[in-house]
Amino acid sequence: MKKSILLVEDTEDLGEMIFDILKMSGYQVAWAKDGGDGVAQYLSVRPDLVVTDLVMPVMNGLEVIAKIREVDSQNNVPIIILSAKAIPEDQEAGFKAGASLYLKKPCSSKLLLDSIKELLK
Amino acid sequence: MKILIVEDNSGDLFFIEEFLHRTNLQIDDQQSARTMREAEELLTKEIFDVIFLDLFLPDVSGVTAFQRLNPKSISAAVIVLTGLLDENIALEALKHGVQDYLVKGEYDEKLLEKTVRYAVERKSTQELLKISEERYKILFEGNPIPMWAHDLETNRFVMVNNAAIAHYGYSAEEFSNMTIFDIRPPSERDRFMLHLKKIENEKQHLHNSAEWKHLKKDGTVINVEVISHIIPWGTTKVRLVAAYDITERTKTEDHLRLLESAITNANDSVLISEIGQNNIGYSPVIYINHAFTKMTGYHPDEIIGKTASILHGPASDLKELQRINDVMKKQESAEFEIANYTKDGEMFWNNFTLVPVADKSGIYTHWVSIQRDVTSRKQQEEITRKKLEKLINERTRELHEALAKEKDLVEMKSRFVSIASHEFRTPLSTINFATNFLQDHFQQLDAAEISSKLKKIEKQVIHMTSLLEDVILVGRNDLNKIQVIKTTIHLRSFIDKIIEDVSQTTKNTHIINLTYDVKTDHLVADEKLLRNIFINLLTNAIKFSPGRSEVDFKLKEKDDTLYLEVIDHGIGITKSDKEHLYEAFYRGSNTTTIAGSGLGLSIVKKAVELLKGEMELNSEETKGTQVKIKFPME
Repeated sequence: MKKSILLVEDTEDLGEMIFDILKMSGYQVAWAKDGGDGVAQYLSVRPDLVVTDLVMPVMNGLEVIAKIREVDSQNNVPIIILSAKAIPEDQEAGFKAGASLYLKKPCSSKLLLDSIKELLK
Repeated sequence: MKILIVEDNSGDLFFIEEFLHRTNLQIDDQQSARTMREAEELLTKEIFDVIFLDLFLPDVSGVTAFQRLNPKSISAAVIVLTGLLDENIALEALKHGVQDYLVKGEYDEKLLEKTVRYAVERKSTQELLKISEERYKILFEGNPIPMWAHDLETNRFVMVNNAAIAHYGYSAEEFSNMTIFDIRPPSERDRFMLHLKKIENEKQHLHNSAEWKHLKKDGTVINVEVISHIIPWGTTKVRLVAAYDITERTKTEDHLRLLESAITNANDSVLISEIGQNNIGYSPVIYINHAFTKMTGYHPDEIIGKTASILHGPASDLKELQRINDVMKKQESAEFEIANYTKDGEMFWNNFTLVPVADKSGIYTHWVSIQRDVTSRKQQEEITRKKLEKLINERTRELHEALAKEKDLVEMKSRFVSIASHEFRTPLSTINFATNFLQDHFQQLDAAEISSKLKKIEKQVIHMTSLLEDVILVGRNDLNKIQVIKTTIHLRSFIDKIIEDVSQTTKNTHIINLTYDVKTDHLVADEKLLRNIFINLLTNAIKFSPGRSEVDFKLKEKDDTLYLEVIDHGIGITKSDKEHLYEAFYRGSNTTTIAGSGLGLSIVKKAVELLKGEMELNSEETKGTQVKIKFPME
C-alpha cells in the first residue's frame, strides 16, 4: 500500500514541483496551500508523513506542527520542515514545535526523498 | 591791717607809734625794725599791708633802701618817712613806686591816717591793674597762636607775641620796624590792600577775614586763617590779629579735594555707603559719583540715604544677592556680577567690587563699591555662547544623523540578508526541484511536460531578476543618479494592463474596483516608475487583505494633478511599524505569514519622489490601509 504524504506549501510553482516529485516517487500526496488547510487535510487524510513550509497565510508552519502534535499526540507522525528560513534560530523553533527534520530551501529532490524514506522506515 | 615800721631813730619811732595809736585805723599788728636787715628778716616771715620806711638806715640809705625792700614787699603800700631837708629824695622815691611820704615833725594823726588810707587804696588799685596786666600778658604773650597788633594808620606792628616771633622767624625788634605788608608775599599784597579798604568802614568789631598767604622770614609761604579785632590802644586804636597756620590742613584738604575729584570724575561708578552700627546688613548710601548717575539714572538726592538694593529687580540672581548679604555680614572684600535696573527700569549687568573701609581705630565704617556696566560684554558672551551652542547642536545633530544613517545601513544590511536569502531561496528551490525532476524522470516525460517544467524554471528566473532590480533600486541612496526616462503613456490602457497583470499574479483572489476620473488621455511620465508604484500598491493591497475579496483603486485628475488612491480592508499596519514604513527590507510585525521582500513601499516612496509627487498613508491595524498619492501631470 502506498504511503501517504501531506504537503503544506503556499507557493504555487514550488508546491506543484514537490507534488510532482513525490508523486513520481510513488507516494500518495495531499497538497494544502495554507496552514489552515494543512491542519484540516491532516485530520481527514491522516498521512504517514507531513512536509510543511513555514511562512504561509492563515497559519504558519510552526502553528500547523503544534496543532498536529496537539490533536494527534500518540501517533507521532514524522514532520519535515522545508523552509527558506535558514538561520539556526528558525531551525531551533521548528524542533521545539515538534518537527522531526529541518530542510533548508533550496534542497535537492534526492535529499528530500532520502529523508522521507528514512523517516518512513 | 598789719604795719611794719622801719626806723632806727627811737624818738621818731615813738612819735609815729603814738600818732598811729591816735588814728582810727584798725591796726591788727604793728612791728618795727631798726635796720634793713631786720626788716628783710621780718618780711621773709610775714606780709604787711603798710610799711613806713626811713630812707636813712644804718645799713642802707636813700632810694636804694626802697629798692631793696620792694621785691620782698610787693603787696605792701610803702610810705617813706623823711626829714624836712630830704624831701627831694622822697619825691624821687615816689617815682620808684613808693606810695607817699611823710615829713618827720610835720604830720599829725589826721594827716597820718589820711596818708595811710590813701596809700593802701592806691596800692590796691595798682595791684589789681598789675594782675590784669599780667593776665593780659599771659593771654597775649603765651598764646600758642601767633598774634600781633598793628596800627590802623601806619600798619606797623605795635606788638607781637612769642608764638608770632617763633612762627614767622622775625625778632620782636625786627617786627617793630615792619608793617603787616612785610609778612605777605608780593602776589597777595594788592588783594590785601583792597581787603583792608573794604573792612575799614565796617562796623563789625570782630572780623574773620578768612584765608591768606603769609610770608615767613625764611621765605616760606604759609596759609593762614585770620581773626582780627579792633582794640583801643592808648589814645588811638589798633587791630589785634590772631593768625592760625592752616598750611597743613590746606594740604590735606587739597589732597582730599583732588581725590574726591578723581572719584567724582572717574569712568567707573563709585558708591559709598555707611555700615549700619546696629544692623551691619543695612548700609545707606552716602555718596555716588557722576558715572554712577550716568549708569543708573539715579541722582544723589534720589539714592542717598537709601540702600543699593534700589537697583535690584526680577532678573537679579537670588543666590548672588544672598552672597552680597553674606559678604556684608562678614565684612570682607568681594566681587559680584548681577543684573541691576536703572531708574527707568532698564536691566543692565553690573560688575562691582565691595570693599569695607575702616576708621583709625580699625572699625569698619563704610563700604566702597566700584561698579561697571558690563552689559555689552555679557551680551557678547551670550552671543558667543549661543553661537557655540548652535554649532555644538549642529555638529551633534550631524553626528546623530550620521550615526542613524550608519545604524540604518547596518540594520538594512541585516534585513537584506535575511529577506533576500528567504526571497531567493524559494524560487531557487523551485528551479532546483524542477531540474532534479527533469533529470530523474527525463525518460518517462513527454515533450509537453518537459516544456512545462522548463517554463517554470524560466518564470523563477524572471521573478528573481525583478527582485534583484528592486534591491538595486532601493540600494541606491542618491536619487539623482537614477535616470527618469519620460515617455508618453496612454493612461487608461496602461492602467487596465496593470490591473490585469496584478490580478493574474495574485490569482484573481480580489476584485480591483477601479474608479477612473481622468480626462487627459496621455500622460508624459517615466513608465517604469509609474508601473512600480501601481503594481506595488495594488499587490500590497491584495496581499495584506487575505480573506477579503475587493480592493479600491481610484484615479482622479484635478488642476493638472493626478490623484491616486488605493484602499484595502486588510490587516493594516501596527503603530510601531509605521515609523519604519519606508525602510527597505523592513517587514510589518503582523506579516509573518505573508511572504514578501519588505521592498514594496520603499520602492513606491522613491518612485513618488522621483516623479515629484507627494504620498500619504493612513492605516489602522486589522481595519485596512489607504494610500494617497498625487503628482503633477505633464
